[in-house]
Parts: sequence; C-alpha cells; structure tokens
Amino acid sequence: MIASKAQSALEYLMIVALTMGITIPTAYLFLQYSSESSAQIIDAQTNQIGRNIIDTAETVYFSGEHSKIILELNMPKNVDDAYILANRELVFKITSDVGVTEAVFFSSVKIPIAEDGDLSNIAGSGLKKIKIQSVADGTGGTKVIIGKFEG
Amino acid sequence: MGRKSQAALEFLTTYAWAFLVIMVTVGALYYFGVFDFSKFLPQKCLFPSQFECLDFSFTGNQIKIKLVNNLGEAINVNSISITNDAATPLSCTSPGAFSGWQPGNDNDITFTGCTGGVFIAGERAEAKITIKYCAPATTGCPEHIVNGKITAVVSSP
Repeated sequence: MIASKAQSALEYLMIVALTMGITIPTAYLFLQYSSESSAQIIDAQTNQIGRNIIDTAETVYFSGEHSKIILELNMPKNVDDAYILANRELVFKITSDVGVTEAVFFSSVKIPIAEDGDLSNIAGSGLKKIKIQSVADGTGGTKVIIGKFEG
Repeated sequence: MGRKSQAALEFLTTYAWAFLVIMVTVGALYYFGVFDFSKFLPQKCLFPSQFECLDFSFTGNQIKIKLVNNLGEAINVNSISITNDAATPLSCTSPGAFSGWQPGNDNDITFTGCTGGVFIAGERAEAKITIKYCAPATTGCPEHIVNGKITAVVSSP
C-alpha cells in the first residue's frame, strides 16, 4: 500500500519536473524572440511615420503658401522625443534595450522645415494629430512648419 | 510521544539531505551551463533599418559587420565604438572616422584586437555597437547616434 503511494508520488513528481523542463526553456526562447520582433516593429512604424511626415511636408511645400494637411499617426511606444534640426532633419529619439537611437529623416535641401511649437508633444505612444503647414519664411520664400494639431 | 517526535525529526532530516543534494546538483548543472538556454537562440545582428545589417562575424579577436546606409543621404561617420555588458566589458580597436558614405552603399566595419567581454572562441558573445554620424549636406552637420547589437558565437581564426 505504502509502496504504491510512493510510486504514484514519484511519478507525479517526474511528470511535474518534465513539464517544467519543457515549459521554462520554451518560455525563455519565446520571450527572446518576441522582444526582437517588438524592436523591429517599432523601427518599422517609426520609419513609416518619419517618411510620411517628410513626404507630406514636401507635398505641402509645392502646393504653395497657406496649404495645410493634418496627419493622424499612431505613434509607437519608446519614442521619447521628436524635434527638427537645422531646418531639414526630423529626428525621433527612440529608447530600446540596446540604448538610445536617433531615427533621422531628411527633407530635401531646398525645402526648409521647422517646428510649430514644441514637436516633442507628438512623442509617446498613441494616436497623434500632426499639422503640416506651408507658411511664408519672412524672406520672400516659403517654409513648412510641423507641429501637434490642437483641435 | 518521544518516539513519534524522533521519527518526525528523522523524516525531516532525510528530507533536508535530499533537498540539499538536489540543490547542489542543480547548482553544478547551472555552473556547467546546462541551463544556459540562450545557446539555442539564433545568432543575430540588430540594427535599425536605417543602418541595415547585411552580415556579421566574430572570428578570432575580430568583429566584422557589413552595414547599408539606408538614410537616403550621404553621411560622415564621426566615431564607432563597441562594448558589452560583461563584468570586464568588450574592448576592441575601432575603425577611425570616415566620410562620404553614400546612400544605398554598404560598408564593412572591422574591429580588431578584441579582448574581455567573454570574447572566447566557441562561446556565445554579445557586442553593442554605437555609431555617431552626421549629414554634411545639413548646415552645421549635427551629430546623431545609432546603437546596434550583435549576438554570435566566436569562431576560431
């Protein structure tokens, strides 16, 4: 009677050990793969958004002064900041497990872009509305201003 | 009463011994890397798509990567550095700055004389690479940073 109980207890423990032995490595490998996929998805989304903003800025520029387009974009997580440098570089600052990386999108040299207010407002995950507008640059030319749409 | 408590104590002592033996065995297996499941993961090179990683190798004391400039803009590379999270971080002789990396072109980047960072033949090693660059067509050439990570097995030269 006791031997029978001991056998069933041992078999039970062996089944638990075998299950754990399969589950733990599988979970570890799955987590590793999913974290890599997540980084690639964020990279692809950021690239699409950056290209979309620059393409729209070029469209607005050639449409003439006072033309305006509102973009609705779903910003991914891990985008901590957004800004424009030297009137032609749109920069998204992205934090990942590798470190901080800047995704840079260049407008054409002849198409000046500038921030309309603080562009860092569009950072952070979620749906964001971005206003892209062509305005006079004060020197007889045109520039494109990019900012968060408040409306 | 005394007999029962003695039996209970002996039972617990036997349990404690069994537990101790199991813990020592598991500890030894862990020490010898039996539970290091990362070796079942594929070798990989993770860079943003703006600097797509085409190829990579850890050979001898060298690390080589082939990256493509997908920025759509010619750039000047100001510096390239390498490290990892080991207690003694990976240290290599980095390639110097270079200019005129045209869009769409690939570039071989080679780090030599790598030491530390568990960079041992046959072992799986990790390298974090930081590239600082700027676009000369932009006024003032503002500097940008890009980080990537390579995980690979170090092969003998």
